[in-house]
Amino acid sequence: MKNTNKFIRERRFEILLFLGIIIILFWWAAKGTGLKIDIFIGGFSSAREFLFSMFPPNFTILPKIMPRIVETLQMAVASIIIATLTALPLSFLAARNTSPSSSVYKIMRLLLNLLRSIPTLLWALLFIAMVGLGPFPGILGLAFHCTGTLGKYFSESIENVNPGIIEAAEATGANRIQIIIFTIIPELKPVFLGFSLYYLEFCIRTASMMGVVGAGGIGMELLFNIRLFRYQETLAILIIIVAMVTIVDTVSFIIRKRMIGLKIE
Amino acid sequence: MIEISKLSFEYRLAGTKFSRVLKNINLHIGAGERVAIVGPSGAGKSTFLKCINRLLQPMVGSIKIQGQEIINLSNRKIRKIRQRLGMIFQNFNLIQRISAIDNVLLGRLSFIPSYRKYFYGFAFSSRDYEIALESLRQVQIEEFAFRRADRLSGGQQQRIGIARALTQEPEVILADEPVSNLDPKIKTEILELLLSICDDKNLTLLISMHEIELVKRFVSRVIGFSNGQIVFDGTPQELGNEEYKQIYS
Repeated sequence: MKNTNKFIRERRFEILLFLGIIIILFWWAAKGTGLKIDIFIGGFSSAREFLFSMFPPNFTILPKIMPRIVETLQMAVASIIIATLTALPLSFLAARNTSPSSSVYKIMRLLLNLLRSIPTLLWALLFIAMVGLGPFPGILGLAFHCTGTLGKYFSESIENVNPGIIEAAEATGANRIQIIIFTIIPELKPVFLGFSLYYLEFCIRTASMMGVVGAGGIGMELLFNIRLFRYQETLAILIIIVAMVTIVDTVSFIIRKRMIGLKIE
Repeated sequence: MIEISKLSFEYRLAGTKFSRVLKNINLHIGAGERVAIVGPSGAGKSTFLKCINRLLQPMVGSIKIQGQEIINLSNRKIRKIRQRLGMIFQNFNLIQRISAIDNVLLGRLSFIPSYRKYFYGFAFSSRDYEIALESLRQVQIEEFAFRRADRLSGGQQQRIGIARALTQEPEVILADEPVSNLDPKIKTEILELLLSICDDKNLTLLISMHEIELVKRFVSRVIGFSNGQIVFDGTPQELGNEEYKQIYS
């Protein structure tokens, strides 16, 4: 009984402590950045004017921007394929259970973290300096960032694979590379494909913004129309981006369900 | 067939501390023998089996397989030895998302000629497929060859595990508690199957298990492990209550 009371007291203290920490953190962040709810509410009247000027969306620009939309999709597809094919071998070097040595493991982790922590737009700016304007630096930027992210997710799923299947393959006399190709990859195929499809969607969203820094895609049209106060055209482009993301998301959802072998009701 | 002397194995704990799991094991196992290894969990049965195909590397001692010392063999040579030692696991250790036959084919991995060693989908020859199908036939599960492993019951999965080992065309079967995760009826079925296959092919069998009644029914020799040491080595008939208590004390 005495122990139970102590347990309950400790549990309640933990919850209150957790809430307290969150409140203090938020207060610190909000104060430092000038977050004020009254200014936000006051801004509604000016936002209304802006929002009304967007309607109705002007879809007559569609034929003109169509090549840019296709280009955005092509950028996303090219970069996710490059990223997946690069991340796959790197992730086996960056997983504790398949890496040839602990120094290779540490170096690969560091490399993946570096690729991942530099934002896509920053990578793109770097590549613009290298190869000039256009979709090419955009693709490279996306591929570099996604290689880092996919590599991290891939290597974490490799580390969580059932060690029994590795042991069983080892016991047959298979070598290290065979174990990767014939047991780990088949076992994790749906996981790998799932992450790649998920990041395809990320690539489309980000490729839509690449044009802002001059790295191809629909983003240039978006920026151009906003700068010229053509809000009806801007809304049309935004709707198209949302539709594009939604379609890709739906398709990849269906594929992922199929991969795991679940039926879709 | 298998000659073991002064074998010891230690697990490294934190820092410089070691935990000795096997202590000075001396043992001779003749070709075609069927040996059950019994003992409480943590006695070192599994470690012992894994030392024989060097999934674990012993610190001291000697293991000879048909006269060949394997303790200090290179990785390449040890893989050749492992070909000859088929292993069966407590948790079956199948790849869940691929078919039974694809799992069984893994037993052929070490036989693939090097020019197509790494080409998934092109690696196995039609002869490899025939051997795999033949193994599935031997474990009486041929009709499920193309079904995904995770769609099969525990007993069926262990049959695939056995077929994978047979596909290596081994001389020895190392079975690490192969029936511990199965219900009583299936335990008997699987053991009957395994023993009859070992009979047919004249394989040496080392099997760790807990079911003493089944041990008495199926094997010709019992080795009792306790605390990393052999405390009993004899026929099932010699294993009386007194000896049993000593093993499971």
